[in-house]
Formats: sequence, structure tokens, C-alpha cells
Amino acid sequence: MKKAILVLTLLLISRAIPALAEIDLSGSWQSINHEDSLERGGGPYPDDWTGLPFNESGRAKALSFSQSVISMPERTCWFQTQWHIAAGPFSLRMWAVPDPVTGKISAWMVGGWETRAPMTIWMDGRPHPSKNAPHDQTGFTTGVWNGNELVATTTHLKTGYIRRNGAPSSDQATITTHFRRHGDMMTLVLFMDDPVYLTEPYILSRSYNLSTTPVAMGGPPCIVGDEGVESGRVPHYLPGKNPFTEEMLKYYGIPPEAAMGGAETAYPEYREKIRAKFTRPAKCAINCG
Amino acid sequence: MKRFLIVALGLAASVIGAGRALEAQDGGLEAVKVRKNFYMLAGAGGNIGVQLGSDGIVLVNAGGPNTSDKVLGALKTLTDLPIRYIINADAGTDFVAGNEKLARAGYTIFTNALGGGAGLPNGGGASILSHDSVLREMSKVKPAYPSGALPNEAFFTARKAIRMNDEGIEIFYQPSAHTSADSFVLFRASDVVVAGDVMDTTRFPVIDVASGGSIAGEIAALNRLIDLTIAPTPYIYKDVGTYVIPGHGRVSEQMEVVDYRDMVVLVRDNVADLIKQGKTLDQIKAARPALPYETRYGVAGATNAFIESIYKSLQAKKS
Amino acid sequence: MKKVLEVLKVLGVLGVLMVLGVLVGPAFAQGRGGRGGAPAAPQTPKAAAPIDLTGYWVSVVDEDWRYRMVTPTKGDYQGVPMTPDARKIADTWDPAKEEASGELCKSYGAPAILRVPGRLHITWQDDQTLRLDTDAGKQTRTFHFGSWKPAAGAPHTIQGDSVAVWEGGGRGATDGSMKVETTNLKAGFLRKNGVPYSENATVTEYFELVTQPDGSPLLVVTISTTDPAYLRQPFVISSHFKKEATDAKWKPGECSATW
Repeated sequence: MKKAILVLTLLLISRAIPALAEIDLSGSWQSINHEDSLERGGGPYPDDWTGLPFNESGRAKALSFSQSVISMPERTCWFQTQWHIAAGPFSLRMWAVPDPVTGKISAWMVGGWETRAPMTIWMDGRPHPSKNAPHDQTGFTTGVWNGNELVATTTHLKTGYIRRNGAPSSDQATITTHFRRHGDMMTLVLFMDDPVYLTEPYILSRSYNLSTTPVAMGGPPCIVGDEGVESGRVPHYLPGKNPFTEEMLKYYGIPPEAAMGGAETAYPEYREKIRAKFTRPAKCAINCG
Repeated sequence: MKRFLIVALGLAASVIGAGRALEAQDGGLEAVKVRKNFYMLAGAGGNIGVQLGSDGIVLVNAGGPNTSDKVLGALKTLTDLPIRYIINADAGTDFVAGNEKLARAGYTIFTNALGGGAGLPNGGGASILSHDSVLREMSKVKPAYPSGALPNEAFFTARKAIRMNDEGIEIFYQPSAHTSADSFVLFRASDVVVAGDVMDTTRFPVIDVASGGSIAGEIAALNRLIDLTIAPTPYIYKDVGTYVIPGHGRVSEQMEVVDYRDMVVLVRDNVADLIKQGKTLDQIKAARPALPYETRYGVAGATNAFIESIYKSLQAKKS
Repeated sequence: MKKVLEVLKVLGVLGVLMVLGVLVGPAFAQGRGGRGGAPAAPQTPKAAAPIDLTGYWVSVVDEDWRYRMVTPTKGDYQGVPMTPDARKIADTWDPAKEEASGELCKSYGAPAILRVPGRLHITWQDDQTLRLDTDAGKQTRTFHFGSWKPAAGAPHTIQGDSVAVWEGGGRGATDGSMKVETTNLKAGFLRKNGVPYSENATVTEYFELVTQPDGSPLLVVTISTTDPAYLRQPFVISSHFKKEATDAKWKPGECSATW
């Protein structure tokens, strides 16, 4: 009996001690924008939702989107959510925040940009706030180590966009970010799990190179200016009136049904579905790189 | 040895258990700290705003039926001082059913009334303050509310202001919004607005046309609410702005009100366009004008109820 | 006073136990031999695999969609850090000529095959060699662990020669990865619209498993192609694959120069 209690105690204590395998993620990480280069930089084409696992509400919301929304006075200084780590072009600055008493890392910081708030990844086991707590610009993120992989979970997001062409993300979304480092390269794999607009999680992965060139840690302040949309007006398209549904057909021969997204558009069998409807344009007309 | 092992087991178990999420206290009622002296009580029907200070407690709304004991229990964990005022920002049962019990548990500020005792207003309990429209709406309800539940301080103007706990409190009447009895209550120093069911982050707004609500009034009210709030510019990434306590749902900021207003406008515009095309109400519902928001706000029949209320509002406006 | 001393004794013993847990725990997790025993035989790469890459995997194309799910437009090189020489070559791309030449698999080589929408079947060919088959283009890659080297003077091939090592993992974590270095490539296309890589290109890949929100594994391959002739800097992309329980959707198809 005494032996059993001793063994149980040892087991419990070893579980209570944090895993030893943690690595240093700190530094300035330069973004490698080779994939989705246009989408992350200048921005995606209007109504290009290829590969996005929309449900019908997500698609309808995206189709109602007018770019003039971001000129609304209430939205001029609106920030992107933490998803913008994947959807935007910017580099990352990461640093650890030690507990002043124990020296243990109580949080990892991912610095912000001009359109994204800094992310605090709490490593001290604190719980996420309740469903009644406010959502702020940073969301609420906790992290755990899986060996040398940092897994961060972000909730309490504000509404935002999966793509900067109106593909929405809701305030009920959860973003899971996996940080994997291989020497001087780091790959992030992000999952956007949004039961309001998606039928399955949307996945993006991005890579970064460690650099000695410092990356900014935070964005500049913002003051609302007049961009031509008067207070109280809500720019949007009525159903059936979005003028850009054939944009991808025009430039790339991609049929509109593919551009409207849906989970099936991300899987190999979809190629056969659209093969007969696809005509490759003679040459690149715009954004050729 | 045995005693030591038991202690060790207990310590280890508490370390492992520390990471688990805290659960709501007191049978589903949660006191969310909004500011140093301001809380939101969630889970008592409609949300309740709670201002604390040396004058005592000011409540905005009083919760739904059979929740008052829980509310009083939650308040006791925050302060020993009595309830002094209940401000009703909404006449719905979710917000006024607790009026009598909570008022009786409180204590009027008018302790120097002539005669004392039975001469004290509201029998000595906390005052119940609201726009006159709340009193009128509550007076229509059958079976009737007891007299102790009715507001005993009703005002008729568009704005009323008092000062409690060293803070200015403004009450703004919002006509013909969710019903005919909506108000916003702004706590100036706390920078908190309690909104009632003009805003509900859990569902489409309920617009009770029969009780004087209208889609135009709802949109006007939401625009007013946006104007009453200040976003955290210029330091968007580090500060928070005015907090809004909706009738139901989570503590919000200006951006949530903007999202909600935009949703109401978009669905209204979609319905208006279908009316213009000559569609009947059934055809309009079938066209799903609220589709962009159905999964977010369309709980328990709320979608069609919302579309109907917009339709009725717009048709009433035409005639 | 007696009780205080008792408590101190308990805390002291507890502290010792915690330190022991820190020191001894990892050794238990790695399953090393006990003190005084014979050293364990080195594990084969198959036995030592920190992650299980075997099985059927389907690509999830949620990035670079118009470069992968359809044939990209001629002249669209967005995102590829091409040299001027590479552009000159890519500008001459003629899909009809490619088809007529019979060299239909130029965009299915090691630097690009994992960008082609399709399915993978990963198996252990033997204890030292992991094999990857694709249904799209019917390609086979072999990843050699250990001290394997390609034969001197071996011809360059579409899939080149790949050497693999395991990195990380163990201790109950799932963060391990397979690092693959591929050389001896035959010239081919990074994209089907003729964006070239030369026979001097080398590829470094990291194959790793990431846990999805529903608990199932996602295979993520980060692919870095270096080509002194045609790339100004390493071209870095990453592809995702979800696991499938069976081969029910496995559909081998020939290479295509136009689709």
C-alpha cells in the first residue's frame, strides 16, 4: 500500500512539472511571401474564395461585402484579427516575458503590426475568460509546449476577415497556431475554426527566416479620417448584385462556382468537376509577378 | 510517512488542477468585472449593470422571474452596501421581474422624508427609476405586476440625469426601438453604457411592433448607441474603449455595436428590396434575406421573427 | 513547534521528490536501459521514427489555388523569386510543345510534386527506406536513412536522390519531423506554366505532423528549393495533407503538361 502511494505520488508530481523540451522562438522572423504572395501583399481578388470551406452564411456574407466598408468612420481604425499573421505579409517579432519572481516564461509575445495587435501567448496555465467577457483587439491566447512545438489557442476574437476581400471570420472563431522551428527557419501552421461561417477548419501555413534586421514590435496609433463614407451608412451589396463574381473567370479562366468557395474546392477531385469549364487564358494580363 | 504522502498528493493534484477553466459561480449567474467599480451580472434573465460605491448599489435592470435570490447573493459578494436605485432600461420581463424583491432588499436614499417609516417612498426600499414608457408598458401586463414592482420615479423627458457614487448617470430614452420603452443608461466616469435589448449579441433583435417597436427606431437607437461610445483610438492595440452592456450576451465595445447595427441595416435593406420587387412575406422569408447572419444570430426561430418585424415595420411606414 | 517541524520535513522531502521527478522523468520516457545493463542495440530508422508518416494522405489546396488546381496562366510568376534567366525560359513555355515532346512529367519532380493536387501513399520499403507514391503522375520518391549515398555518376532523375534524417520528437511529444535533402534532379518546372528549376537545384523538406482541432493529424511539408541558376533565393512553400483511412479514393493518373 505504501509503495503504491509512493509510486502514485511520483507519477503525479512528474506530470505537474512542465515538460523540459522548450525551445527559444525569440527574434526577428522575416516573412517568406512566396505562396499566396499577391493575397498577402496587395490583396486577393474580389470574390476569390477558392479553397475556402464556406458554409452558405459565409458565402452570403462575403458576397454582401463592399470594400467601402473599411472607409466607414467606425471602421477606419479597425484592426485585423490575429488571423492576419497568416493572411498578411508582415514579419514577426517574438520575445519571451519571464515571471519576475520565478524566472519562468509566463508568456510569449508576438509583436503587432500597423493593422494587427500584439499577441500575448500566456504560458502559465491561466484559463480563457468566460463567454460573457469582452473580446478585444488582441483576442485571448494561451500556449502549451508539445516537445519543441508551441501550440497557441486564441479565442475571444472580434469579427474580422479570413481574406481581405470580405471572406468573414466571426467572433465565435478559434485560431490554433502551431510554431515549429527548424534552425533559422520557422513554420507556422494556423487553423481557423469558425462554426459560424465554415464547414471545416481553414488551414494556412507560413514560413519565416530568422534575421538580424529588427522587426517592429507594435503598430502606430490611428486617428479616424474622412474617407467619403458618411456616418451611419453601411456599404454592402444586395443579394445577386455583387459585381465581381466573374473576376476570376475574367483573369484566369476559373469558373465562378469555384471562386465561390466551399470545402470541395480544396480537394483533388474538384479538378475533374471544373476541367471542362476551365479555359486557360492566353497569357497573364495582370499581377504577373 | 502516510501523512506526508497524502499532503504530497494533495499538492500535486492542486498544481495539475490549476489550469482548468473557472466555472460560473452561483448556479449559472456570473459577475463580470467591467471596471473597477462596475460589474455585469449575466445569467439572471437580461443582463444587469451594477455600479458600486460609497452611496450604495445602483442597478440597471433587475433580472427575470425567480432570479432575485441569486442576484442578491451575487451582490453580497461584491459589497455589503444596500441597493439604492434600480434603473429600468427595458420593460421586458427579463429586466423588471426582479424589481419588487430587489427594491425591498434595498434602502431608499430619501430617508429624511416627512413621517419616516410608512411615509418613505416605495415603502423604504430602493427607488425604481425609469422613463414613463416603461411604467406604461408594465401597467399593460396581465396578470398585473404588484405595485412594489412598478417604477416609482418615472420621467417624461428624453433625458434624465442623476449623480450617484461620485459619477454622473444619464438616461436617454430611445423611442420606438425594440419596443416603445427602451433607454440607454450612460455611466460617465465608468465609461459604460447599459443598453437593454436594443442590442443582444446572442440573437437577431426582437422588435415588438405591437408594443411600439420599429426597424427605423431600432437602427436609430443603435446609431445613437454608437455615438455614445468611444473607440480606443488612437491606441487601438493597447487600450479599450467604452464598454456596452447589451440586454443579453457579452460585454461589448463600440465595434460590436457597429457589427450589430450593420447586420440590422443589411437585413433591413434586403427585405426592403424584396418588398420593392413585390414579394409577399412568405416569399421574402423563403428568399432568406438574413442568410449572411443566420448561423450567428438565428437561434430558436429568431430569423423569421426578425424578418417579419422588419416587414411589418416597413409596411406600416408605407401606410 | 513540533507540527512546524513536521511540516518542514514534509516540504523538504517533497522538494527532493520533485527534483528527482525532473531528473529521472525524461530518462524513463526515453526508455533507456537500466544501470549496469548492456547498451541497447541501435534502433532502425523505422523503429526510431518519432512520428508515423505512413498511410494515405490527400492534399488540401487552400493556398496558391490558381497555380495548383488549374494550369496557371503563361507569364504568371507571382511569388517565385526567379532570376532573369529563369524568366527568359519561362516566357518560352508552350504547353502544346511540351505535350508533343513526350516529357509530360516536368512539373511532377521532387521540388513540385507535393504541390500537385492528389493523394500520397507512404510506406516503409524496408527498415531504412521510406517510400512515397503519388497517384497524380504516378511518381515514387524514396527517402534513404542512415549512411546511404547515391552511386557515383548516377543519372539525374525526376525525383532525384533523397537522404532523410529524423529530428526531434520523443518524450511523448509529437513534434518530430523528417528532414529530407534531395539532389541529382533532372531539370523541371516549379509550376506547370514553365517556371524552371535546373539540374543543379537542391530541395530541403521537413515532413511533420500537426494536430488538427479535431485531433486528427495533418501532414505539413515545408519545401525549400535552392537553385543558383534560376532562383535568386530559396523558394519556400508548404503543402498540407489530411489522412485518409483507406485507399478508396486513390486514383492513379498520368502526368499532364497541360492540366
